Amino acid sequence: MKKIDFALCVSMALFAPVLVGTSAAQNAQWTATSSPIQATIAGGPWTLGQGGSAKTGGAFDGPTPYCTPGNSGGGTERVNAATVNTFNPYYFPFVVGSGQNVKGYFDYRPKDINEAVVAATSTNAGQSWTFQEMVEQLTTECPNSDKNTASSGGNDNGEGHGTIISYAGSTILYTLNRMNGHVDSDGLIVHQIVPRGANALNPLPASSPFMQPPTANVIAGWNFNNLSGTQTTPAASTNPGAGAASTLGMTNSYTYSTTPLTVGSTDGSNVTKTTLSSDPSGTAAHNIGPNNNEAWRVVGVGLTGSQTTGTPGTGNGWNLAAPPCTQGAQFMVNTTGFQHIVFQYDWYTTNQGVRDLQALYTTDGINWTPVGPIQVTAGGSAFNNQITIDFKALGITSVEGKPNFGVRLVSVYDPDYPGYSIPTGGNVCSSTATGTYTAASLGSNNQPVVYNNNSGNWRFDEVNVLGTANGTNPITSDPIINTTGLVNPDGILAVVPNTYPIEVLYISKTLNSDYLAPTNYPVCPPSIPNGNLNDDVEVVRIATTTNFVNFTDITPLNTPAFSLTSSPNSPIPMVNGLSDPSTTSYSGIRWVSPNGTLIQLSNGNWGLFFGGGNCLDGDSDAFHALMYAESAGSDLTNWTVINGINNPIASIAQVSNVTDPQSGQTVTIPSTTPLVGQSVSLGLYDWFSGRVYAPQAIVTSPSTVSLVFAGYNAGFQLGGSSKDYSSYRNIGQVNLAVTNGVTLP
Amino acid sequence: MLKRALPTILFASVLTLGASSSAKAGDIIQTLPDFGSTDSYDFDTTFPTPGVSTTVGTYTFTIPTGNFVTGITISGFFGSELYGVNTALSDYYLGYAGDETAVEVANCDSASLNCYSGQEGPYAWGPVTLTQAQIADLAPALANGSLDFTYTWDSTTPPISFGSGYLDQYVNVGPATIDISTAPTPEPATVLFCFSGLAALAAVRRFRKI
Repeated sequence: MKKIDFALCVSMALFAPVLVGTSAAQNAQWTATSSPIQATIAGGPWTLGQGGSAKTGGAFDGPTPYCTPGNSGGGTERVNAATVNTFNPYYFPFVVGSGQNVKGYFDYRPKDINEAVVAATSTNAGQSWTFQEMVEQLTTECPNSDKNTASSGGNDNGEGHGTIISYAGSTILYTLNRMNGHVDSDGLIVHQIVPRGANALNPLPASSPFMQPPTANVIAGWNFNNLSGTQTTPAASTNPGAGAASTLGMTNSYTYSTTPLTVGSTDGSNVTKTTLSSDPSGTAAHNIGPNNNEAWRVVGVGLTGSQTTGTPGTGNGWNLAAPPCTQGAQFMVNTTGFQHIVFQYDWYTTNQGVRDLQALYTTDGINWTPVGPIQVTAGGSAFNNQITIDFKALGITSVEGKPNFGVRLVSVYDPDYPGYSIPTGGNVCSSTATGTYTAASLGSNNQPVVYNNNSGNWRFDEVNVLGTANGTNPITSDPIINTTGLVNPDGILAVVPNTYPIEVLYISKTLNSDYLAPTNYPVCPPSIPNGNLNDDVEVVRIATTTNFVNFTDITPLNTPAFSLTSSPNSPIPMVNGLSDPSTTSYSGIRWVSPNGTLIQLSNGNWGLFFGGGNCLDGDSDAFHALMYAESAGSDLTNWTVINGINNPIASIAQVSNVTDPQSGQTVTIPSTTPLVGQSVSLGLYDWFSGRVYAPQAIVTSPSTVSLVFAGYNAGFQLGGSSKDYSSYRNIGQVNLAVTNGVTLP
Repeated sequence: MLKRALPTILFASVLTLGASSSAKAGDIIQTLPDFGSTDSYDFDTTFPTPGVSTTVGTYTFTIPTGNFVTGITISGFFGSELYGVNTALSDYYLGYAGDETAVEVANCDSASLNCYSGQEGPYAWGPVTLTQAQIADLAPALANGSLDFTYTWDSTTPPISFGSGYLDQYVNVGPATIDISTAPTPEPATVLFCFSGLAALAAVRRFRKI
């Protein structure tokens, strides 16, 4: 053998393992081995199929209504003993276990009616499920119509996006607080559960702490149900001798208009019907909600005749010239004999009402101190229910046993509007604070607009001051514990198996922030299907925890890939390669949703199944496609998307011949047939052709997974009377296999 | 161990002497259901006492008359379908009341193990095949037709924080299946016949050597 041949042989021998290794490190390639099906559930609460077919019947008057007896008779929520139904309206599954026998946690959410956490089991890897338990439900009210929409939408903002961490024989459930003012800004709610057979969510209560607290713990409360007409100092409905309410700043001499000149207002606050507060004991009969409740409207009336100049009767009390923290309402309550003081209230703003509210408290009736964050209304003509100030949880025990304890709910300048500043120390009520009041309803560009200075008002309902003599929590046996350290969490994307400290990928969603530095990204055009706009910035971040409550965010800085030359992006904390919060391309992944699955592969990579969305959707809920990505080795910060928007595992219905906002080219999305389903045109619409997300991959063999996921049909995406409420939030299943030698744990 | 077990083996043999020749070899297979401990490592109030045994369940059976136990295997799961998918640090035994020499058959005794920290259990363990000496240790229980499957908290478990307190830790185990193999006990005549054969064989070998 010649020397050179020998050397070649040696080289090949030495490098052969490397070559083999390279081959073995190929990404997993998935194929579908079954057609996607809609899963079933035996037992549990009312399901959509019981309501009837598309556009006929429904939760109120369908063949089997949501409540028993239902219809105008209201009643109690239906529980199906063992009936097998199509698995809806449930979504955001989170499945634990492998093989055929698995346990699932689901977000039960009949639209505008209720929301709850449900546990179920499956013995066939997710094709059919058996109900175990439902807990933490938002409300026990029955719908008042099939859509339960009343004037502006019912209430289904409870606890959602449930995910699980199991460790040391314990199970910790994390949920998203969807309440206005809390969603995507509060930490996730943490529950420790101790499964006991069918009581899979033991010991969590049936009702969420968002529901009404025990009446026995109300020191003084106002539901305004027995009042009418002008009420400037409405009497308390519970223990009237213990509390006194009054308005603030409605009688004034501010200027409301200069053309014609309108000056002055006097307090004209009154009680008026305003639906969709949390008050369960309104005027509607038979437990039908949302109740047509009475609420207290805080407003001024213009002075008349000789009392004013200009147009009489038009000054409505709320005014741009009012110093911050001087207009609103005040509730004084004697807390003598009580500990663990909690203040709760429902706050409603009309479209033109002031957008920002700050709570203040006093222990002597003289000195007032801000407490809690500024409350920003979620929109106009909407209640922000059960806003809670738990003084004990905040470490403020000085309010206990005080005859002159009180809370003020007052208007403050909008921190989101240019020109806002407060002095060092952060007192929003300071006389040196600068800024302006804005309106509850945003402008056409989704940005705040200055309050119009002469219309709009606030309303309050279910104002309660609670406490107990022995210091126990007066609201619930399941008090809210929030995570710390997760930045604007929308939910957990995946738990990294076998880690301690526990490591998670999570969804960080900052609402209405894609026009604010440093995330002032190119905005999406109005969505194709319904013209919706969205300004949320959403990225995937990484955090660790050693105690399941306090997290440490360890996300590295990365720069979103797409930016305008005139406005280059800055690095922000986000994992790299999975999504791009700045992309406007219909082929890009702008948003990512919670409840995906991480799998450690034999090639040494992490595989991630996840749901994502793009600018076609006009919605940061990230429901356009089920996708798959891998991260090399132990690294979870850099990702390569293997199955993306254009070659997804599953996708919503195909959109053809649209102009991509980023490239300007005419495109069809997805450009290739999805791995699962055939969500293309010609009428072949899948049950997930409207929305698809939350893929849960159950490893069923070293080369196969059962993918459990959620989807809506296309009809739900339509607007107005065309919207189909009969098939949304479906749980489904499909089998996938790895075809290129990668094996699963 | 063998020396200690010898009397028990002899005792078990005596029990079966003279048994009916109609006995047949077979397996006794029993499964205990999912189990989740109701007590926990409650670090907020007291540190758990290591070594205190808690019963998961009891296998009850009857060794057919005329049979003796030839082998025992046991398998199961850390974590439970009905309870939690993993378990606190713990050790698992087969034994009987008053037994000080229970046989350890499984353990989840390291924080690095999936059975303790994993998210996706239950995690299978076993099958574990008991040695003849271990079977001999269990002879009284086998004779009584009752074997306890128990666990003890592993004393190396560190407290795990949960917010401002400590995480309650639970022992969760899935179905545990035992397989007791039996065979007919040779009758005295058969034993005599066998010994005769062996003696003859020895004689032949001795004769050949000569």
